[in-house]
Amino acid sequence: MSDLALIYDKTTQTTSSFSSDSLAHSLNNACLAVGLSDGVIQDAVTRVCHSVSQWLLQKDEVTSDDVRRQAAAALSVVSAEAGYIYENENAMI
Amino acid sequence: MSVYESWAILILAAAIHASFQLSVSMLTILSGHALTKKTAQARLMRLISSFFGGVALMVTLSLSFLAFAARDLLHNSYAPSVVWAAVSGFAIGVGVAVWAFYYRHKTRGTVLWLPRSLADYLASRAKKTKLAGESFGLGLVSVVAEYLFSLAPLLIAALVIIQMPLSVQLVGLIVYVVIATLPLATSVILIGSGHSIARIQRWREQNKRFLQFAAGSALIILGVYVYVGQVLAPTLSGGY
Repeated sequence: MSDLALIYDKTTQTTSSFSSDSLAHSLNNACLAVGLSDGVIQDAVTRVCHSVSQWLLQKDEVTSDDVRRQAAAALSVVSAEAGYIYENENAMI
Repeated sequence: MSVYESWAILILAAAIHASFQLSVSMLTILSGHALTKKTAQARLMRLISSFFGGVALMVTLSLSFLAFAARDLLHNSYAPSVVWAAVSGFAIGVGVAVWAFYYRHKTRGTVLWLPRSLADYLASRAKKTKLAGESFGLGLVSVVAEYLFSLAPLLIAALVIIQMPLSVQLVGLIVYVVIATLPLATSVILIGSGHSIARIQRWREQNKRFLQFAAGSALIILGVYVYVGQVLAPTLSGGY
């Protein structure tokens, strides 16, 4: 069994384990939306996924919003615009 | 109502309409998701231009319909004081509502005070659309979805337009539509010329309180001005 914290989604009220693929897909979309190049995107996604995994090792249970904030902060180091879009993609309308 | 007064009211009503943000939000989502699919620039331009066309058409149709209905129901080019009183009261009420509710205060971003199911549906369609036709339809719907706020300036503009000479009414309609869609047109130009949607969205988020305050205040000022000019003044001077 993984040592990573479980993720609670407030919207669906379900708990799930961390999916690196799902996070990578969302991060990839945010990076593309601000026009980053493929090389930068690949590097950014790898770094952020690793950073979030390390952070989850120190927790028992977190919410999906916590994961989003954490990933956005890590992504902002590479690209502030991509981090902003990733954090706010569900808060535009 | 003098000619200058008519144009001033029409332009202020259009500027208030322009400050409402649902269409710009949907355009940002639509273009953001088109970019994630590495959509070609020409295709992106088709999508956002179609969306803009839908918004412009729906604003035109809404204002034309309200002007036609007002002219037909009143059997006169001049609305009676009771109609102006009702419309100005509605504008003041909506102005206060914009102050209080336009954005969901406790959330980040630019989340609007709309029924969540409707907002979620619009957002999900804007994310999925690939066809210019659907994008055009989303533009139409985005205007309808914001009627709760935009109906007040539209009604006032309609009552002003029917008072204008017949030859100028079309110009009044065009001026209103051009001003009301100006922020959206600016966004289309910015996105089309390669500006980052993050910068556009961040600007909107940073200035949302000002836009909210300006729109609410302008609606209240417009409502009070119309009430004084079209209800109180004729009554005090012995008009109808």
